[in-house]
Amino acid sequence: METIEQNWRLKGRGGALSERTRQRWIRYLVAYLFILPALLLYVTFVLRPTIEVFVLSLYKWNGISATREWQGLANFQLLMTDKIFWQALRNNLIWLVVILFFNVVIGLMAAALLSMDIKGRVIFRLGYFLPVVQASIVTAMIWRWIYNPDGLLNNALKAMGLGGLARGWLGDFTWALPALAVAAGWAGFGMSVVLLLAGMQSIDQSLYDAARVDGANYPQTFRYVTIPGLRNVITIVILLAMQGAFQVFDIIWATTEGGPIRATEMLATYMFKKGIMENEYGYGSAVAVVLAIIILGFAITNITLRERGDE
Amino acid sequence: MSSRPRILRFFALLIVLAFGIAACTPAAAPAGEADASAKTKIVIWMGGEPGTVNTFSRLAESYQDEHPEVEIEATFIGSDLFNPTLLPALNAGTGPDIFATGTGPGQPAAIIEAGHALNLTRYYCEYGWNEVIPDWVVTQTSSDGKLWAVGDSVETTLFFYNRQIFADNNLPIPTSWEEFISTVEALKAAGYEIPIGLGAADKWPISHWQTMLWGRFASPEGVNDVMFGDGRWTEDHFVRATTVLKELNDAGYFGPNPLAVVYDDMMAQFWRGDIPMTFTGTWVIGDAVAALGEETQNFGIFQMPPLTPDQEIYPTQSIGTGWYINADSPNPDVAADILNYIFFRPESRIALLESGDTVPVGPLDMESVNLPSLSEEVFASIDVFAANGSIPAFFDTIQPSNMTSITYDGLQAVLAGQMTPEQFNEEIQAAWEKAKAEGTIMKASGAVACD
Amino acid sequence: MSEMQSAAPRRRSQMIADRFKKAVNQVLVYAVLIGLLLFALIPLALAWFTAFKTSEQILFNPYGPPIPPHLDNLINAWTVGRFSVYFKNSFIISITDVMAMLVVAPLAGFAFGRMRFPGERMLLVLFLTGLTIPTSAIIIPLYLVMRDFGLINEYGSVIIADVALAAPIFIFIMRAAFRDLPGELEDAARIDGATEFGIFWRVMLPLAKPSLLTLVLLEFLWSWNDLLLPLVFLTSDNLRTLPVGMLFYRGRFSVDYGLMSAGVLIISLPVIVMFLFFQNSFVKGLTGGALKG
Repeated sequence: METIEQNWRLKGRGGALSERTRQRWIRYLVAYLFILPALLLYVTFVLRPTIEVFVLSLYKWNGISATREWQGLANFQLLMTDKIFWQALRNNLIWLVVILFFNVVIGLMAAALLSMDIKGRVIFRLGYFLPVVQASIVTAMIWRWIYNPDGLLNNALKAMGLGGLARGWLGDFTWALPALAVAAGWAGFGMSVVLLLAGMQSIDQSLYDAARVDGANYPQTFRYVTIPGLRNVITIVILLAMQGAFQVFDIIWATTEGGPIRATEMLATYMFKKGIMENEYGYGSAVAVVLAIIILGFAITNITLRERGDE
Repeated sequence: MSSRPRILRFFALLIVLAFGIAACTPAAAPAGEADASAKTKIVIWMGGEPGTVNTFSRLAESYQDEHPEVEIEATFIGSDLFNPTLLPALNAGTGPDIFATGTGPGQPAAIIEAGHALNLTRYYCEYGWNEVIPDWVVTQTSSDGKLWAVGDSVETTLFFYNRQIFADNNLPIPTSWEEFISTVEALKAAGYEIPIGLGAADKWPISHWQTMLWGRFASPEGVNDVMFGDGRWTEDHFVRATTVLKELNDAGYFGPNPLAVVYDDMMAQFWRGDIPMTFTGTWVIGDAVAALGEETQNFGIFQMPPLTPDQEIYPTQSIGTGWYINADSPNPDVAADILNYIFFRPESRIALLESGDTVPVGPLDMESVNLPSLSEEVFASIDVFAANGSIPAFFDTIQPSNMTSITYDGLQAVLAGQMTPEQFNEEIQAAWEKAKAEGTIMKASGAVACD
Repeated sequence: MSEMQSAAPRRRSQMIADRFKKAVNQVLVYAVLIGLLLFALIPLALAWFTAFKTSEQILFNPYGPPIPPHLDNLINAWTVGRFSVYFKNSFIISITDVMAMLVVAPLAGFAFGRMRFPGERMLLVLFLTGLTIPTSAIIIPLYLVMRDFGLINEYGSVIIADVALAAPIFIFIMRAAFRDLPGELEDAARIDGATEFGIFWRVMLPLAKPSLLTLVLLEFLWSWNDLLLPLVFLTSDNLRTLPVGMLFYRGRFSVDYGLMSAGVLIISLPVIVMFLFFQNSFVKGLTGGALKG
């Protein structure tokens, strides 16, 4: 930004004080004007509703009557003892683990392999990314079909002689959640591969050359040069996964709606059910507040780590 | 930046605050009222898949033909999203003129108390609906002596079975519990992986079983005792009923994976002949007739036999849906006229009956009607047993919504062995008491009077 | 990356062993990559195949290619299934979203990226918090705000909400893009007496074309695939978008796989075509946005 500073200083030396100030204020005004549309939209349609959610979480409201009952922090106290809330939180964490596996482990592996001398790298990258551009409802429908008791997965297992493993995946209390998480992992790992590949390209080539001179083979180079160089990108991948894992709604709603027996209940679906379907808008807002705080926590971590990493 | 005077920062803050305040003031309410065009527009919301064409939508269209000054827009919304969409809309004043949703003590209480349902008593008396709608339906759709909804149909639940399969295996229609069990066992032995179809993934089909079993074990008086009196859902007969459901599942009668079975999938398999029988209701007849035509004669019905020697067969009976008029509708009279046309005009009632879509409430002129075979069988069966009294067909449409979630998840848990029947009934009772304390249970009213 | 070759001379047999190991490595690497590719593509391919099959074909040949292909499912979904209506609505909303975002985000991004003004950092942080708010958390008050503006059941509600919610991300992307541009052109323009807007419009914006393309692609993608906002704000069936339509047909889709696959194809096709054509831009923009932020 030195040029702008120099600019202003240049003009300052040349003109009278009031002229310089006037110019500066005009520039401020223009800046505000440029930001105005975004700001107006944002404040009205994002900020204000967010504040209202926080406010609403302190009341009890059925969504339709003209009056709201003040609860103070009672909703949050209730939340702490709510079995289903904790189950949903646990489910979000399990989801996170699966997604992290797909994004970090599989993503890194694929990116590492692709960064070698591979023919048709573009095709691989394209293919991995195709699931990423699908709508969540599409992912949900396709995988619901795959997991059908009479669907692709069970038939494949039977064909391989593993028929004993076949089951009603989305109706199984233990397997419904991991099954859906795999579907989400399928839909997301391509993004991670792309990000990691791009990150790899920005690693200083001289580091690789130094490693070669030192006699390192590929796995060693990977461990001591690539991964540290990718630290930033890996952090981003992890934090994107965290944000995604806690916001999950669409894919659950389109398949199991939180069932069977809350096995796939997520914070977002619980909030929707409690708040909107059971007319407990206050309580639902309390869940929303907790959700927002968790995600905000991750986002702040994201920024802090990245700022620190930039040094 | 530190060299900038503090006043600039303050000024910036002020600007942001100004925007905030400006944004917090809602825009003036739109001036849009019904414009001066000749047509009166009536919006109807029904539960179901978009693009559904059923007898209701067809009758609405013929009303449009007969009344060219009225334009009817019928929208279908998926049933689990219906209330979540309806409530905010009613609140916002953007709701439909007519909406079809639940009846009974629990569900519409919030809507009625918030004043969004129009009091229909006037139309009830003027149009003569009071001579058609039976008392028990009025009781479930009114409170404080005011009628809030028109019940559109009487639905009943019972077993549907595949005649061919039964014949092939020499199976009788069971008339006793022992016969029922031996029939199901025989079907299992004959290689049917799912003898009794149950779409447990969708949860509500299990609650239909639960409702029927609870009514059978408690008798109509026992049920009313809890719904309107001091009875408790934790009484022995209710717990016994839940246990029977669990035992049926443990014996594998619902197949190996009922929780993975989606209702629509299961019904498709039933009509295809892959599943010998299922317990469901009269609402399936319309679609079956539309899809299979004459072939529906390959299927029959029977009542669940008495589960213990001292039990009676009580047919189940519940109102299908209640049709309400939005209290904020600008054209209530037209809306009421449409309701009258669809439900009370003799030709409409015949059309509804003949399609198998619904059984309209009230006396039915069966003579001149050409019913689908399944419907005829259902009526005949009800005729035989009606004198014993009837029990509700589904609790989940008449109980408050917090109880519904507990019911749905609890039943799945019972089937999965994660909850005992005693625990389930206790949870239901606890939720029932909570709802009563909060007043989300509408008190039943007496009859609605017309002077 | 090939194995390190040490400076010492190698015996011939060892060279053969090395080459063999290298070949095995190659095979392994390709095997893993192709395996992963199959994992990514098979579910999609199966869905696309099924879209062109009749019910008999689905029954007897559930996993193979549709030979011969039939268009019945697609026609069915398009007409009876009303996907033509949903497609039109999705299209209108997404295009308008993109155009609106093209107005909103580059302007703000330019201001944040190349202009200095008081409260800049604070406003930036303000927008940052918006990135963390999940739509599902604020849907109820958002609905009420839309009601106050009389926008329920109008395209405008979804468009405005889409833009408001996604603006922070694109502001950051545009900010990064503008920041990276060389300052000399701007200096030259200033010396020539250009206004701020002039600099923006004539100098900076054309240089930021790649990021603009990214903006267009991403906003279209997110808008096209969005489920929750159109679900809640557009209740009339005539205004529904494709994802919502698919959600409501869930029951029928669990029975009619051909129809479901046709729906999947209709909703995926525009996005896939777009992606295939603009692959590089997608990738560059996503990584740029995420890495630089």
